[in-house]
Amino acid sequence: MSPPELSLRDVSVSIKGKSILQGINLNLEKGEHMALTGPSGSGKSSLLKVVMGVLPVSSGHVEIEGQALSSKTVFALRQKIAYIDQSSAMGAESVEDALMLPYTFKAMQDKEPNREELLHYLDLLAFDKKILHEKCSVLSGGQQQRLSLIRALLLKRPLILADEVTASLDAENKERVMDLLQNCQASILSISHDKEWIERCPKTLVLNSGEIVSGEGDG
Amino acid sequence: MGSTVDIPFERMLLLYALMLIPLGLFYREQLGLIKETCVALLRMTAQLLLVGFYLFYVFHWNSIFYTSLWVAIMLLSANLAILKKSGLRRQVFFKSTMMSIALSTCGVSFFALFVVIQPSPPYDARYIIPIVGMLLGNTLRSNIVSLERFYSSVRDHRDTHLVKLMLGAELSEAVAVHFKEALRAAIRPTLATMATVGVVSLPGMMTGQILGGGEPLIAAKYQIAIMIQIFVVMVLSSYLNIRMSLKNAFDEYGNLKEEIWLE
Repeated sequence: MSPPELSLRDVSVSIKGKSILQGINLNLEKGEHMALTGPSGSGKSSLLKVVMGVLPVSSGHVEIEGQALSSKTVFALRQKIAYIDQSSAMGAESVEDALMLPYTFKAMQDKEPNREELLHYLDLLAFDKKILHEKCSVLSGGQQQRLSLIRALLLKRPLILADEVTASLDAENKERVMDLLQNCQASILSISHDKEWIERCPKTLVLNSGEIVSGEGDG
Repeated sequence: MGSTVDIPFERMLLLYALMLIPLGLFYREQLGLIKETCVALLRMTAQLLLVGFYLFYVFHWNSIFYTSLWVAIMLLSANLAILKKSGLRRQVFFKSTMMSIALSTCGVSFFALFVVIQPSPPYDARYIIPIVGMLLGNTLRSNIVSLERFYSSVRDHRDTHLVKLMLGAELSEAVAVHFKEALRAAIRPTLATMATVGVVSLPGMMTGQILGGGEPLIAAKYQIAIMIQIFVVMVLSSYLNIRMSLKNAFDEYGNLKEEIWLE
């Protein structure tokens, strides 16, 4: 049996003596979609940061495709993750450069994005292809977020981590993004307060004060 | 060409009397700078006289030990000044800053002295100390600018840094844009100086040599030599300093450590 895409075992995190996460257990199977919800300050973003190897754990284990996350494996395991952040940081001046950014890094230099697929995603998310020549600084938060989603999907990584991916979108675009994500083959762990998106996810975890208070962690 | 005319003590006092003009202006305009100016004037006088006194003996002995000791003191002072002014913690950056400024300054000045200028003896304190001093003085500014600019920029673009790491960048790739910006900011002022030197102002070393009775053409050659050294040392030390500091300033996961900043 193949290992789950993502597995957390008894994960606890403390920062300067303050407990941020306590005893988190969860399994995210391949292709599974899970929503992570809870009040502000409940530890949702911290949990995502733990999986990204940004926030080191105080105790417990994180595994991605059966490989333990550590300082030695973090850069390799990040190649399995596509992250769509809330801040819409694009990391380049023009939209095209931002979409091509991952392919400028050593780890991705031998790979190329599929142009047809890119145009297909632009079309699905109601963008004209002229947007490729726009400057990122003139785009709205919602446009940047949708483009971050396209960039993440083009990478074809097995695990998508999304932080409030529908937050800055109008009703129409929200629907488009939710459809796209729902049909995505990758495993998705997404922070959300959006009831519609949460309802579309087969699994939901509710966090409060750094602990899972309801939902199936399957851990 | 003659030697430098000494300034007698009583006539030096006349120069100090000149300071009454700005002090009077400060008083009249209530700028609140009188105390600060007096302290700075006293410090400058004491520091330069002490250095003059110390260098008199260093030059007199012309011993490789005392010259090296003075160079080490200059390196240490430069290091502490760079870290204090850039707002970064000594505990994190001392080693990388020391290595980068020592390697670049000593390497370039030794090349200039032993290969190009070739004084006799090659460790002549009259050459080593002013040259290393001038190199360090200029390195100071470029390292303050490059370190401060680089780490502030990474901190201010934390989200973009994280996104790049998550897109598969190695640490050096994720910080590349900040690295380039910091180096440009550190290098540009010296480039501007190089392009205008001699036209807008006569540089200090050349002025000193001419006042000291030196030939203007030889003074110009020394000035060119020192400008090239300053530029090379400035670029090399700023580059090495950021590169060498990455290991201590970022954790093993590629995150900028919080504790790098002075409170």
